[in-house]
Amino acid sequence: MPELESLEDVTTPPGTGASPARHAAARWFGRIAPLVVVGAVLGAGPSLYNNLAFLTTLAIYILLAQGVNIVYGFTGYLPFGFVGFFGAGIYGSSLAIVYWHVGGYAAIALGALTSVVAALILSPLLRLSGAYFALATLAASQALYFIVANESWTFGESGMSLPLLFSPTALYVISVVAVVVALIVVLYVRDSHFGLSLRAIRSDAVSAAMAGVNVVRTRTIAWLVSAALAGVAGALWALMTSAFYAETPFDLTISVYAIVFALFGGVRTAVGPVVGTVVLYSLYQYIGISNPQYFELIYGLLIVVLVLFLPGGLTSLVGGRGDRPAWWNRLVRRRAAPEVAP
Amino acid sequence: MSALLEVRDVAKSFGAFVALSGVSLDVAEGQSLGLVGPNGSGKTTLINVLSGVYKPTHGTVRLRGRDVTGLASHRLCGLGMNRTFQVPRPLAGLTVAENVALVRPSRHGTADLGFDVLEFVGLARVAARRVAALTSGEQKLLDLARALAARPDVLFVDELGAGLSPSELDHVAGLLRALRERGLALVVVEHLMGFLEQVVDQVVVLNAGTPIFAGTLRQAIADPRVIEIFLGTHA
Repeated sequence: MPELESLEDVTTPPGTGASPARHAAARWFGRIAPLVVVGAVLGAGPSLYNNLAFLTTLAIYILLAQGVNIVYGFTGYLPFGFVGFFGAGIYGSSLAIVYWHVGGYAAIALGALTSVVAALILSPLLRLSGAYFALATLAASQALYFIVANESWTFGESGMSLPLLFSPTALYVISVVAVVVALIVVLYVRDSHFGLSLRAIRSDAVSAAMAGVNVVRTRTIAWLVSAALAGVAGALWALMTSAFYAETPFDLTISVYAIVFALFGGVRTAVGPVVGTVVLYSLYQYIGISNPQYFELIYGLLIVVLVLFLPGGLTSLVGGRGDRPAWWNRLVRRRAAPEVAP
Repeated sequence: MSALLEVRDVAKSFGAFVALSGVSLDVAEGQSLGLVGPNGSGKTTLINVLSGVYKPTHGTVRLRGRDVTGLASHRLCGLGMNRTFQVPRPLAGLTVAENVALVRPSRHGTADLGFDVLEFVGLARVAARRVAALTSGEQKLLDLARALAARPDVLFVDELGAGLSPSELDHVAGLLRALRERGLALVVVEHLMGFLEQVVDQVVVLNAGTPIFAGTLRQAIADPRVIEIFLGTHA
């Protein structure tokens, strides 16, 4: 996976390594290859496994995991209440459909907009750090849940019921397009000066400011972009599900899954959250529904293994040498050069 | 001639603790001003105030006649003021080259140094390395390179010499002299008098947050007030 050789444009000093033309070509290959691979795999999904509800939910989780990737991976803020933006997207799009009778595409746009507005209102939370930030977002998402679940204009008592605006196939195609667009957004964040600024802020906000980075604005933009992805995910979920109560959209398990999927695949990479979601959500589909008790056990074990042995996520195994876990480097070296062994 | 940097009656308090009071100083283009004083006398606090890390409680700061009091660090960076940190703070998650590539050069600053900052400080050969792989001396040089990449007109240098070997000290003193020759205004905080002698024209001595002396370094060393705060009266 060549896309993990990231940021060569600013890391490689002039006069070292390959020629500029080859370098630029490799860089563009690293950007286009993940788009083609992810688009092709998800596009071929229905012919591999004919369950559109599962595949669309998978795409929705990929969007959520990419949202976590941007806000946690690049800025270091862990949003436990990330589900709040998903719920905001669900209710923003649903209420627009019910009250204004908007079409499906407008509903998706309004879902994203609702989440962005919610993120803007919550942006002062970015002044907090670490566990305080995580808990504050959690509280905010629950506050939003209680409002939505108890107000009559949000159909808190009766539950939401929406007309079907897209066929399951159309909705899946839209979801795959959304995943590819999200991937483009993450690739931009990864390779641009904006992404470099985010990594700088994550490293040391005071020093980044002294390098001319507008810390507050840069961090807020990342926060709004991640909320927009969750909002689109929410709107797609609303269009797919069409009848629901507020408990499901604001279920904290969704936050936990999105965070675990992103971390399992590897944050700060473009395809990590995609790989993590595909592997873990497929596992969930395979055993989580028939044997939920074992599934939770396996999930718990996987998280322990991740923290201990793969802190950089699955994709770190194929990343640059400095990103790979030490045990993996040893294993690979021994296999590559057995004669060195005593 | 009006000064490039004018600091007037600046004060900074943290709750009831007065860290700085009545600090006024001028720095002209190409001037190198030393800032000396015992530990806790407010040298680093003054640099933090002048570089936007803290807002002053009182007083004004002007750069080329423009009021820049209390502006955020990134704005000051854009206007041509920059600094190094006492404990170097290079961006640890980034490579050496990325630390410098991050910096958008000041648009208002006039000091186009006309050289590659990594070449200048001597870190070009480790450009692709991560910060964690650098020695502490190299991290200090990277801090300086990061500050210079912003093309500042005024550079605050906070104890760049501390902890360096004699040869590294000579290297750094040479760099600062070269910068001064190119017209940069320097404000240098330093405890090492031998180092200071090589790089500054004038010094301001701070004690308990207030300037008590301004003049040349030789005059400062002979001044009874300065001797008193460093050595005490009954030494």
